[in-house]
Formats: sequence, C-alpha cells, structure tokens
Amino acid sequence: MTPEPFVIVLFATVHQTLKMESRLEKEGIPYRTIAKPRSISEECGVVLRISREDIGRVQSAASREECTIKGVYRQINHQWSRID
Amino acid sequence: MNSYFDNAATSWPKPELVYRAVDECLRNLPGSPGRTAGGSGDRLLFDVRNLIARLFNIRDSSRIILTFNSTMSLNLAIQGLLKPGDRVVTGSMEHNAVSRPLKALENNLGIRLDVIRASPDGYLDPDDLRRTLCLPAKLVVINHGSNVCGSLQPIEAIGRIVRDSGAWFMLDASQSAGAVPIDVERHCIDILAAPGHKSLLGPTGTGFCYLGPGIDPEPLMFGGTGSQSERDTQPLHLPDRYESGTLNFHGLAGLRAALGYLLDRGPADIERCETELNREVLSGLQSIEGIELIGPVHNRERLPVFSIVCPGKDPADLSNILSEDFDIATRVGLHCAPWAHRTLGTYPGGTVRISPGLFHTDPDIRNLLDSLDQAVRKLSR
Repeated sequence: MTPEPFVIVLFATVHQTLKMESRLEKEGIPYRTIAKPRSISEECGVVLRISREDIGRVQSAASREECTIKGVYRQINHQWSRID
Repeated sequence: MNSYFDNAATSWPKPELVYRAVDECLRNLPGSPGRTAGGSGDRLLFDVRNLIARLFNIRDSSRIILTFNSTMSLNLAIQGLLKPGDRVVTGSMEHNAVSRPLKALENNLGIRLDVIRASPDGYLDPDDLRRTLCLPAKLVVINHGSNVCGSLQPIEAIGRIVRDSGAWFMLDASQSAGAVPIDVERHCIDILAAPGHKSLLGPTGTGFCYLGPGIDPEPLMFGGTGSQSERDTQPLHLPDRYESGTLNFHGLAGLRAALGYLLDRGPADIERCETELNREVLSGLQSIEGIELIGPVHNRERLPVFSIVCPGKDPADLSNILSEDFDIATRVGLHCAPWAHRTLGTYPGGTVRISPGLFHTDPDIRNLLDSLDQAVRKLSR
C-alpha cells in the first residue's frame, strides 16, 4: 500500500505549533492543522500536516523558531508510524 | 458629551473595533481553545500573547499567562512564588490586590514584609529602596501608577536597583499598562501584571501575567489545559501550566483588537495624549476654589488620575452632586487602596477620584471642570 503523500509533525506544545503555523505561512509552506491522532499519543492537541517533500524545510524552520519537533509520522494503511 | 470619569476603574468607551471583535467572536468563532482541531481559539490566544509581547518588549510570548484580571495575575505570582521566611519589599502606595495577599502570606506563611513609605505626594525614593535592599529580599512588588492620585514610580531606577540586589522585580502595571511605555528589558522587570480592561482598552474579564525566565510559581489552579490530558499532574510547559479551564475567549477577542489599536496608534502618540489630558485637567482643577488636589500637583511622572477633597466636607457629597446634578461619574472612597490614602493623608475619609480617558474631548473636559466648579459652590452653600 502506498503511504499517504502527507506526513504529520508533532511539536512539543500547542504554543510552538502555533508559532510554526505563522512561520510556515511566512515561508509559503502549505500545511493544515489537524487533531493529533490518538495512536501517536494520548495527549490532546494538534499537529501540522505537511507534504512529505517539505519535511526538510519544516525542520529548518523549526530550528530557526527554536521549536522542538517531537516526531514526524506517516500513515500507511490507516496506521501512523514514526519516521523521524 | 462623555461624562464618564472613572477610567481608573475601567476604561470607557472602547475603540469601535473592540465592540465589533467581541460581537464577531460571539457570533462566528467556533471551538474552545486547545480542544478543537485547527480551531481559531488557539490562534486567538496566540495572537493576544504576541501583541502583548510586542507592546512590552517580551521575548518569549509563551511566558505570557492570560488571566481574568490584574488581581488574578498578582495573586498568581505572589502566592505561587513565596515560601515561609521569604522577604518581600513593597511600597506604601499599593492597591489591596497586592497588600492583601502579602498580608495574608505574612500572617499565614511567615513571610517577612517590609513596606517603604512613599512621600506625601505619592512617590517612592529609589535611595530608600536601595538601603532597604542591603538585606537580601526574594521579591520586590511595586505599583507603577497610583490608582488614587496618579503618581508614577521611577521604574527605570527601581528596576536597576532591584536587579542589582538579586531580587525579583514585580511590577503592578494595572493603571499604567497601555498609558505609558513599559519595557521589561529596559526596566528590568521579572514579573509584569496588568488587566486588559483599563488603559489596554479591552473588555473586563481579561488580563495577563508575564513570568520572566526562571520565574516558575506553583500554579494557583489545577485542571484541564487541553494538553497532556492522560496525566494526573499539571503540565510543566508554559503557558498551559497556569491556564486551567476556559479563558474569557470573547473578551480576549476584544483585547486582541484593542492591542492592535494601541500598537497602530503607537506608544508615543498615546503618551502625548495622556500628557495633554494631564495638563488640561490639572490646570483646570488648580483654578477651582474650594478644592484641594491630593498627590502630585505637577504634570510630570503622573497618570491622568486625580484625587480631590473639599476641606471639611464629605467627599461623597461632592461625588453625589456631580452625579445627580451633572450626570458626571466619578469614584469616591478609598479606591481599594487604604495604604495609599494613609500615605497621602486622606485616610479614612477618602477622596473623589476623577480619571479621564483617552477619548475625552476638550468640550468633555470643559464640561467636567465647569460642573465641578458649580458642584463645589453648591456644597459650600
């Protein structure tokens, strides 16, 4: 089964997620804020869904914003797996 | 004609876009902060934090805790930080929102409280503070602008003295935030507390507490934060640690609009308007026979907050005449600041407080002064 073309990026806090929204908008990196899948963690919160090809750009942006990426996940056959 | 002169209690009117923002949020914005995927609630809170950060030169907006008023902000820091035996220094112009929690902790927790007496016109002497801090203190809490007489403390000097002493500097900016420039870096402020509904021009039910790096009080409230819900313990990360329960979402929408308005106008323009208000009202009050101006009688280092008495008369009588005969709103009494009144020499009788706002016009001020003159004459008959 082909993995989804999207990945989700989990940041340390909601505040950092919102900082990254602003940064991605400024840099023209498409994203969507979605609810965090429960299978990733039981915490309530949100994650940013981005295109797999933008992982590197988002990681660079996170570094500039001093935001901590707790994980990058892809979905295969409705299951989320950590890839970074 | 705007005859509301109690802006020290809460500002009115608000900018038009504040009303529209609250209405828009009530009608259209779904979701609760932190609980709905992609919800606009989180974005609203984030925007408010960022705007506050811009206004006060705060580097890390996650350390801005949103509250419901300045009293909550002050209690969050005072009650959360102090331990038995800690020494706290404060001034004699403090509001009950500072003096009451400090006295409660003195009685119940055994903190050591030292109060520096201000001058009879309401100013602390930085040299007195320097001498007091020859003995180490944990926290210095200072009211920036008096809600009784408008005196503005010299926080640039005070902040430097406190920083050099090693204590934390907590500024109660209830009256001054939005009215005069405050810079947490330049003024060496470790904790900044302010309401959203006075000179920040937002709705009631809003406020904030900035906690500088390394300032980590015990939370006052524990509960749902929209994060780490699987744990029985309060999150450690900010701002969630100090924001349990649902905030005044709609009020904060109004505050967001108000902060944008203030930043667009610019602190320099706001300060210029405040200075002009001071000059106009002060000049008028000084020309009315039969009243005494309490506190600073000059136009420097002050807010547009004025206290007056008619010697030998009950200030309530003057306030009532202004209200009933001229429809002018003032505030009479001790203004929740008995310490300040003791310092100024107006305890226990209190004063009539007149506090004009940013949107008063020249005709409004002339009406105030004319009415006051007539009221005093009536009282003297």
